[in-house]
Amino acid sequence: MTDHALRSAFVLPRRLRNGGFVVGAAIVGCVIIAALVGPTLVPHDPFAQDLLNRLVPPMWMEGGSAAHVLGTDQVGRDYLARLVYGARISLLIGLSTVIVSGLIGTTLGVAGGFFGGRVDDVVTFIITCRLAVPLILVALAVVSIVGSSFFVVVMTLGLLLWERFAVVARATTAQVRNLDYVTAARAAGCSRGYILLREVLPNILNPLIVVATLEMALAILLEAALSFLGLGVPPPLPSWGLMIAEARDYMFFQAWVIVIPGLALLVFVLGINVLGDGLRDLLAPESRA
Amino acid sequence: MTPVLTVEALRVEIPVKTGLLRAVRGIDLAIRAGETHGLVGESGSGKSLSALGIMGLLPARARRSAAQLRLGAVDLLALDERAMEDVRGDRVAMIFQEPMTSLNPAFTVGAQLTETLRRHRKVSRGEALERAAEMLTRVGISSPRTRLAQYPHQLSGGLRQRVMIAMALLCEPKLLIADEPTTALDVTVQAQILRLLAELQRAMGLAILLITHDLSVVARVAQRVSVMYAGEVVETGAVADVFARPAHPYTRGLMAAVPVPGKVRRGAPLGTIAGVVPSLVGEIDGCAFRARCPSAHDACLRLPPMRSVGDDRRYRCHLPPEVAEARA
Repeated sequence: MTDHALRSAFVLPRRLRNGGFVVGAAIVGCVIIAALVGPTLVPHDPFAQDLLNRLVPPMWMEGGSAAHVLGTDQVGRDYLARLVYGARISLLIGLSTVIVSGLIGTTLGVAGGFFGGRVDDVVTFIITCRLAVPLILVALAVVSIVGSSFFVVVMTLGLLLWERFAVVARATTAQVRNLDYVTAARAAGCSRGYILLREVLPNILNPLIVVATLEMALAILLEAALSFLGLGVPPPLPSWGLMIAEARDYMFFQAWVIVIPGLALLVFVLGINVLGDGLRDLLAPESRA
Repeated sequence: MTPVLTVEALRVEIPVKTGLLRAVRGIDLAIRAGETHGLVGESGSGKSLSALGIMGLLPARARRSAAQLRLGAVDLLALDERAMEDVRGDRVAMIFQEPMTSLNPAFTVGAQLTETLRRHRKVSRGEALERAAEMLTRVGISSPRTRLAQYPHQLSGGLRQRVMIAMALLCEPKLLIADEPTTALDVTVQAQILRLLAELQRAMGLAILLITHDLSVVARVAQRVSVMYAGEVVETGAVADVFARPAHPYTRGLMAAVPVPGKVRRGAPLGTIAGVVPSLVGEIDGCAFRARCPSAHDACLRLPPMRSVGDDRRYRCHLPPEVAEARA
């Protein structure tokens, strides 16, 4: 075996050599697994109150016990159970929001980029209008008027967070539209709808996936912010933002009640962003064979 | 015999800020089955826009008009967009200059080939794959089964152009429009592709409209040629005649600019035609080539007539060829 062959035998697939992708994927993977199977593994009910065991510290701290690994909150609910259940909420909010906003943004962006002219003017105007809307303010207003529920939060965020999809889809579509294979498809007798679905969409998907990760992180953060202000998913659903809000009063003497959900949020959002960065490097056109 | 393609007074006009850009100013073409018609001219002379105009693939802003535009007996001017989609890829196909970008990178060669076929013919997926593999063999691709499963980035430029040709000919069109099909390829591959096109043409009785700025390509494969200048056909006729005795001063200039090994001294500057192409915005009064023509005179302020020499040789100039030649 030559030296070169020897070395190439140990070369990892490109995916695994990208640090960001590996770290991000590991974190996001852990959260997804926790959200899927966690609630069945944790022996406690996230909603069951136990007023005799309020604010029990985590097991590694003084006064903690193995019965409540991460301790309990101010009404004695198991913190680990709530954290794991909260991962579900965060994931669901993130995914649903990205699906709603991705659909809106991609449709608008592809239409503008592909048809150009008047259509593009209208799309650009709508994007500019959206950018002029203060996110948090409108979200707060809508939720406080309509009332907070999972559905309202997802729709509000989804209707507000599509502009990056639109911008990216519009720019990439305008690029792809002028490539020879699109003209070739037209010369082969393909209709516009067919060209949009088969020639344009698959070729602008990569940057959109990266946008989706960033938007998902943003949606999760915004939901936490809304929950913290009491306008996110309604209690007693254990959203991480709500957990932080409820722990506010105790943060000076039982700091862990706010540190644990805060850390979970930080690590998860960081993980998604790092994964997005890694994906961007992997999917970048110049690195494609 | 009726020509496969009949074009009469085709015009393509594009509104721009400063007025109306008349990119194609009334060109006539007739291409018979089994014939290769070269359309030559420099960049911006309207070759590609003429082709796109025939295909009905002009950019949205561009306007097309023609006295006649027929594919066989079908009047293309009377077809709406839906009907045109049925014609494209079926009776008239097109291949492009850049084989590196004319295949969709997101799908396998097989998926792209079969979809063109299934778009126009009622065949099953398996049957389409069978026909696609057959076609790949015909365009000289070995182990077609393997190639069908590959993505475009796994193929070389020459192979991709062969795939493009296969895709274009899958529905056995009557007319193939080849827009600079070999410009992006290296010379060896270029020769192979040209030979392949000629073989397929003989086997299928195909009419080819070959758009190029390379006179040697035209000389090698075309039977007839039309020379375009500033959106007009300035000379048209059999390749041998036109190249041997160019009648229009522009054609003569082009021929004189081609370096000939042995005839042109090493290190000598390459031949050029002095001056630049006139702006195509608005009407051009008189002869468009006037400003660069060595034998221009007062009559050139009027639009020159299309003159005929022999049976099917025509050129747009006030001067009979002998006179122009003597003056040059």
